[in-house]
Amino acid sequence: MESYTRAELVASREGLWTVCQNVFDVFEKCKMEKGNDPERCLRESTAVLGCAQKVMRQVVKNCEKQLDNTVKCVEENNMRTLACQNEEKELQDCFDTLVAPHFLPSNE
Amino acid sequence: MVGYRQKWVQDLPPAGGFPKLTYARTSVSPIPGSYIFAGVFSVMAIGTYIFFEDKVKRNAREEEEKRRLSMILPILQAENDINFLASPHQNVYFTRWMPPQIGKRAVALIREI
Repeated sequence: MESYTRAELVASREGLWTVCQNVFDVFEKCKMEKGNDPERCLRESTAVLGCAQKVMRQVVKNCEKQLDNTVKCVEENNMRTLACQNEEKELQDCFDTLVAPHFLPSNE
Repeated sequence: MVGYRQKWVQDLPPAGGFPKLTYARTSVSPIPGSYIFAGVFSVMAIGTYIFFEDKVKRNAREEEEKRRLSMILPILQAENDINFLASPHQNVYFTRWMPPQIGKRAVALIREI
């Protein structure tokens, strides 16, 4: 996976979870059932990274300005996100309009 | 005999005497102790109420922050797992070092006792 900073991942967490929730849930279930051995959940880890990678690529491609604003705010606030409601709202709007249609079936 | 021009006069109290001295113990418009107690404890109560009200809010905020931060944990865990598997995660040196086995030591100590 290309390296994204913690702040970038935290900023786009809602989008990641809307798209990759099933993958994350399967990974966490596997981790809980089979223990902490990384070899036994290799398929699930790969799936998690692939899904996150796809989403983050689209976010960086389409919503770079909003993402940068949010990351700046998050980093200035010691990784706290409650102080960044406005930036996060803008990023979420951008995600819903530009990124989500790539991954989620539209409801129209 | 010395002839003084002014006649010698003795110092005497004014007519009618001096005003009475208040040497007895007095108390100047005292505030009742119960009022002071009530005031202090009401201030303390209000302050405590405000503090705990704020503390509940702060704890809720911190919990929400922790929940949000924990949402990226699957990604970090998966990334770390794959990096670990891609690395030569074997000990290539001969060494007597062992990971700290705190639990086992505690169990052994309990059994000995």
